[in-house]
Amino acid sequence: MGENSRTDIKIYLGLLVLLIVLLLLPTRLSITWTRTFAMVFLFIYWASAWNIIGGMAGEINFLHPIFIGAGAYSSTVLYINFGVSPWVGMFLGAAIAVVLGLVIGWICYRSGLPHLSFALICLGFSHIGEIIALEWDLLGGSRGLVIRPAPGLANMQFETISTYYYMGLGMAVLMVGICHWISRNKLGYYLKAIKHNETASAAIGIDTVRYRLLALAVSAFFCALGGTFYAQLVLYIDPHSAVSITTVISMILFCAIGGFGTVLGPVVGTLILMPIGEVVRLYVMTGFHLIIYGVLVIVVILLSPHGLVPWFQSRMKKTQEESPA
Amino acid sequence: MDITIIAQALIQGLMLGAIYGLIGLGITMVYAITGLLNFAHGDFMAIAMYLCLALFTHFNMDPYLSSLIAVPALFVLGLLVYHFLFRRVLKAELLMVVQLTLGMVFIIESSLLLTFTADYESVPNILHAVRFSLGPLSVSGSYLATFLVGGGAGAALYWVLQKTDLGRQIRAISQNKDAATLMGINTTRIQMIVFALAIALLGLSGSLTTSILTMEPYMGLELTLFAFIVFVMGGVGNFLGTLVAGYLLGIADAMGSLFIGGHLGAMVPYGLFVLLLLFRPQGILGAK
Repeated sequence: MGENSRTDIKIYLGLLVLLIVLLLLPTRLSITWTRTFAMVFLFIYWASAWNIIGGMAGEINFLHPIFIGAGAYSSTVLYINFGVSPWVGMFLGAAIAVVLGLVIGWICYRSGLPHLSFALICLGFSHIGEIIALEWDLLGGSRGLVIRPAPGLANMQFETISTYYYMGLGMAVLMVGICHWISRNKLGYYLKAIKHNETASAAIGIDTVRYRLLALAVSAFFCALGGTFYAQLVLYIDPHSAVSITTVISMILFCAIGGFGTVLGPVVGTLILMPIGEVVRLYVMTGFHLIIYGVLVIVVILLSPHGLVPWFQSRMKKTQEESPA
Repeated sequence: MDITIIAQALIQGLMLGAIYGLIGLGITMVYAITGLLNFAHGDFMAIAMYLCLALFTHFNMDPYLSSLIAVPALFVLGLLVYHFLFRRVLKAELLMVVQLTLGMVFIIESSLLLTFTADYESVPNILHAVRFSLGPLSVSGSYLATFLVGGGAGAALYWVLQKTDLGRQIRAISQNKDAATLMGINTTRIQMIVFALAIALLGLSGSLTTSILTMEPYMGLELTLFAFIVFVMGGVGNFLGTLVAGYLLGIADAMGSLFIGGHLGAMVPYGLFVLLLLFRPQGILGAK
């Protein structure tokens, strides 16, 4: 235990240094890169939120385009049509996302669908969500919705891009904190048990449906809030960007590279992949970055099937065993 | 609504259904003997279709003729992908395998996008303008060819699975891999062949449908989704069920676009799938 906590302290110190660097970074970055990093933080936040249901509970869950879309569209529609502040609108979006998640989740979990069927139903629902966004005039159809720039705290729009940067950073830190808390508490342990053996978990008295729903609701809630942030950052949403299956696949890939179900996995995966992808996108070719993502994920899975964070942890444990202090 | 129009759509749906069944059968075979779920399955069909497009634009080659190149090319591609990637993750967690194939989705879709741009494409074939009519019903030659060849291939494959030694070996592996290995079946070889065969089937399906389905670089995931839906609807691992489900999905697709149309019509197959899973989670022909 003592050695474990020493490893923990090292990790926390490393994170603290990283955080300080990130806090000071905007003064040195161009506007493009500040914006990119705001997006990187959003993806850390999203990937961590996905990781609660996908990584910790071990589900192949593709529902998140719906959650992100619910957040982005609710706040934007309320703001454009009724002048409701996105700070208020985002909670309606989150509520819608939670309700949708609970309804779909309840239907699927109750009938005990196998993983694949569940994944397909999720993909089907996400597809339906995209189609609804395309067809519903209130949501702007395929033309999407444009948010008129009107900087002001009440409108969740900021003069400088670095404000978005810090807001994104704050959200990411908060989300990682929540994941850390969940992983050290009852919910986290239950999810782990459910992931490894659902039948056995039910047999020892864990209400598996209830805890999976709880995890899904938490995940949906925070993803939707991130959707509002996304809309305010880009000031434009359309079905292909806001209800995008590519987004959830990216989130899953980031978790995979970092390590499923680990608290730091989504952080590490996103911090490594997205900047590389962005460099490629800006300086080599748009579209090529997805190829890099794909290649990297395949390489990581073949070399270290559990992702980078577990690999790093086992390495650290090994070096400690070799040199006992 | 005129009954002829409905009958017409029904026929069209059945014909496309033959292809869905064929794509799904590939997934079912691969799953039955390796337990792999390949989310890049549909993307291989996209590769085949773009191969036909390239052959058409550069050499003015008819897609039906291109299938003679596409099928062996995809068979080899399947062998390579299996040997270098899938073979290594056979024992990994399901989520990891899904990841690996999602990574492949990104690679294939983006490569297609960079090579062929995002424009919608289709390639006409020699039978496209020919129409066959039976009373008030008429059907395009390319649909009919799709039905005959696709449905024929599906039926032939089903026969192979049921009646030949290869088929018996495949079914033995799908029932109990270890026992099959102990009986002297070369499991590794069969797994590789079946995977490559499934990919080669996509070469055939792709060449047949270049004039029917609109090509775009991101079409793969949707095709995969359809294939998986067929696979689950038929009752996981049930070969006959897969073929039946393919036709059902084709009909649902055609009816959706006839009665509702547009994007909403495209939801009908998914709706059917969700309903089916809720009321009959084991699939159409699946055992409880």
